[in-house]
Amino acid sequence: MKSPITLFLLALWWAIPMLGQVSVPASITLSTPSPSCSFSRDASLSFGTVEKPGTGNGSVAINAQTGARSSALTVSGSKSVGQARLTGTNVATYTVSRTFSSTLTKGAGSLNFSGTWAQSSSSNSSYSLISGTSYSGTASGAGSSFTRYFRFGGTVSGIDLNDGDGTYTGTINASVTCN
Amino acid sequence: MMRAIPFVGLMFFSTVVQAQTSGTMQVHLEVLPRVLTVSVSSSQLDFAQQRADAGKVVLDPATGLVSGKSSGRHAMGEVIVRGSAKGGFLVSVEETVRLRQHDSDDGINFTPLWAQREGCHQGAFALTPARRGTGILGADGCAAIRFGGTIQLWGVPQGRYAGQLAVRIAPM
Repeated sequence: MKSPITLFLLALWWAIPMLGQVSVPASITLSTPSPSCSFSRDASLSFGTVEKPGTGNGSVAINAQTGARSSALTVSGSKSVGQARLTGTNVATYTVSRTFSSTLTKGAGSLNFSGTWAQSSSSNSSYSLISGTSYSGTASGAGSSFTRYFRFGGTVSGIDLNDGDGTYTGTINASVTCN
Repeated sequence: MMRAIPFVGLMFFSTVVQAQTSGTMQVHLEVLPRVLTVSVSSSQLDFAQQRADAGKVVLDPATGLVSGKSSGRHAMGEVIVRGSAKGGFLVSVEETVRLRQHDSDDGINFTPLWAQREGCHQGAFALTPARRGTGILGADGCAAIRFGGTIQLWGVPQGRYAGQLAVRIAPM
């Protein structure tokens, strides 16, 4: 036996056509997950220590792909290739842009610096040199996280006997856009 | 009889969402003054035995030969300089060294000569005809300097004469 309320609803349902059509709008908003990314430095770029040449000028270089240091000058001390990692989630594509100092400076003194960089999906191997000031890549998209590794090297040149002793510094800036 | 089907609208919104980040990295290089390492490979500069009236006797550091008739083995002093490849260095030697007999005022004057060779393993020595001069390290970051000299023997008392030759080597 149906309750009075059920009977009322059934009556209303069958009564609707007689009252006219009724549209019941409903909506749902679907949006892709927001991408997020972070660019962190694992190691600064350090050329170590170089001894000034007695005549002429010299240079010291660190290979961005391998991290190896090379120079015809006497070099010592610890060196390190610059290393950074890009991590993100819900990222389909990304672009990394970099700016290198053109010089390393110490007070009024300066040395020429020409930077290089490379990228890999592995932290320790398979780095590919990047030409140009920006690099665009694809990531794993929505719902996934990813990591890309970047190395920074370069060459400091024009080191001669007239350069002052001490530590010369410069900066590498990188900005990342993740979509 | 018609039954209305409720209309359900599904609306998809496509928006461009970006995330941005940035970082800075330091670059370092320490520059040091040139450093030379000097080691004496042969400290004996020896004219061997010469006649007391032999006159001018030259121990040529370029050829390694001694003039005149001598007995015994002569030897030249030799210094090895190490540093940056193709780096330069300054050499200065005393103009004259007085060689004396032990417990005696008798002496003879010794005028040093020096010759250099770029690299430590091969090549000829080149005489530097000056009390002061410049040297160049070879591609191996090494140079050899050989020391000889000249003495004048005229009526010199018999005996053994000895002295100290000071050599100054500095990076350029």
